[in-house]
Amino acid sequence: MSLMEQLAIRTENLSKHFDGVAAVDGLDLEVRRGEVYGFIGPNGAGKTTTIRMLLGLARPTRGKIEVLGSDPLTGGPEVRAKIGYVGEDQAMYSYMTVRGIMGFIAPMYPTWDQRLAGEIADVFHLPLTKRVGELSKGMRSQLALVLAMAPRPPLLVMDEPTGGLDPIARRDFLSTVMRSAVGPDQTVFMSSHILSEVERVVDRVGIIVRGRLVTVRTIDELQTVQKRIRVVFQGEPPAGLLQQQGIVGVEREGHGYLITVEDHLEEVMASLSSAPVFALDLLDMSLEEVLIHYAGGSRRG
Amino acid sequence: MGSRTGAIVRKEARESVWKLLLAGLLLIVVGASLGPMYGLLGSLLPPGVLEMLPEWLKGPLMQQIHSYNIYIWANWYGKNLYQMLTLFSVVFGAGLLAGEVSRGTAGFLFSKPVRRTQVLRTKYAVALGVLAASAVAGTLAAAIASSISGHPVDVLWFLSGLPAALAATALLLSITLVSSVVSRDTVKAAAMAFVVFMAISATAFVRPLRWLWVFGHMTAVRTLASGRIDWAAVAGMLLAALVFLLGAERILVRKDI
Repeated sequence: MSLMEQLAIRTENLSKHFDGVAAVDGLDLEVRRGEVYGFIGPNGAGKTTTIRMLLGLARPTRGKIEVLGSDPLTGGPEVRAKIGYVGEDQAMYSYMTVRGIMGFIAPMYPTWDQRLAGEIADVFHLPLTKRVGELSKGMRSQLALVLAMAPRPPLLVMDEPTGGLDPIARRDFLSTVMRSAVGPDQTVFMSSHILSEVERVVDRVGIIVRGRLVTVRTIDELQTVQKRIRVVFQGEPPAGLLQQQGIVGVEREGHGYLITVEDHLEEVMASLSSAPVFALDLLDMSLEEVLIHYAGGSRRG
Repeated sequence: MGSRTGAIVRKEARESVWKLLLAGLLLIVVGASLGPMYGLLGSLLPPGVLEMLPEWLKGPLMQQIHSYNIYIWANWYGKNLYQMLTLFSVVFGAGLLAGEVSRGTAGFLFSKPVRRTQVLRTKYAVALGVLAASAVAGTLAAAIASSISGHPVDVLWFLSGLPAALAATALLLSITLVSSVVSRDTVKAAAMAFVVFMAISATAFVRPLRWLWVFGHMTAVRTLASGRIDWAAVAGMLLAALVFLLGAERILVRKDI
């Protein structure tokens, strides 16, 4: 299988401008078939705009997109028949019943699996005769997941699918996705602004900030590649010490400094400990701190 | 019909039930009331008033008093039917796509494996079907009520005004569809269509442009005068409707949802 065939999603220099402002700016994305990819970024980072372009709902200002080997804009219904989509707002036809909306969507997909639809609806205890407009936000998310997963699509795209859910509902939701959707050939692409929400389920994370992909890592890499050092110098830090290779962020914190280090931890620790310091501590970064670091770093940049 | 199209047709039909009830009932009631109202024509005017009316008003009124056929045609095709079909074209057409956008369901619908053109054509066809069914029902109600009230009309002759009325409706609905695709708001879409309709109305006052006066064609007055359906006007309006429909599709295909 060639590299292109191994990719479920590929974008090249993908950009989308609104009134001259870039919502997505030169995005190069590669999502492998069969992986669970977390697309993480703060609000307004360009996640939803990217997903809308992946689904063919919005036209890129420039750049290329390939979803399962086809351009979603020109690929027509055949491409979208292979994509299950759970939207951010869960807007559906409020007058339809749960059973009714399943009956509306089912004929659109040649691969619709009614048994799977029933199973997932059972897991969530969805009331089949209730109108969509009467469902809670959580139930609408669950229904959206049923509709997205029942066709057994090779690609499941979810845009902030658990937004507004409580932690227990969030965990159940993601567990169901992982249990029912993820087979060896099924790819999941999910966006979130909460890194810790997806850490249990994703294989890799791409962090998008201000429309640009700032890093792609596994969760393990994210947790280990960046560390934070808290240091209190005796007086001012020696010149150049805080500008050395590996230091990607420096924040003043009271009398000390909070230094973010990437890749060259041992060298940085060695040089800091050789300087006159009162205190020198190595701290683990939480995933949220990692995200904040990238988001903040981008803003400064 | 493909299963995808079938699913969309069923959805649109379901969403159109209230439209059919509203338009159908209203047109049936108005159509059925024309026959019984004929006896009141003229008799409501105080003695001597008719003679005092200006000739441009007196002439048509006298024609209607003397001929039931002219009366029923003028009051159905020339007044009630075209006004209500125009109104319903705007009310129903404006929400066809803008309604999906404003209630947030456009993203849900178009993320599914359906073509945008397929959705738009289905919405247009169902809306036009509702208007056509209502118009036919109202027209038949007018003919039946005429017979019951002692003024039987030749039903085929009376139905011969419908092709022009429906072709014009198809055109007006397609114009409203364009505004519904362009605008993300149903009210704005209706306002845009209304402005275009005003412009069309203005052509009545400019002799070289009078052939563009859709509302004139809609009254099927030539059919009344000649006894023959003006197929050229019908074909022209249907062709124009097709152009606007294709234009709406082209805009929608290129539009961000």
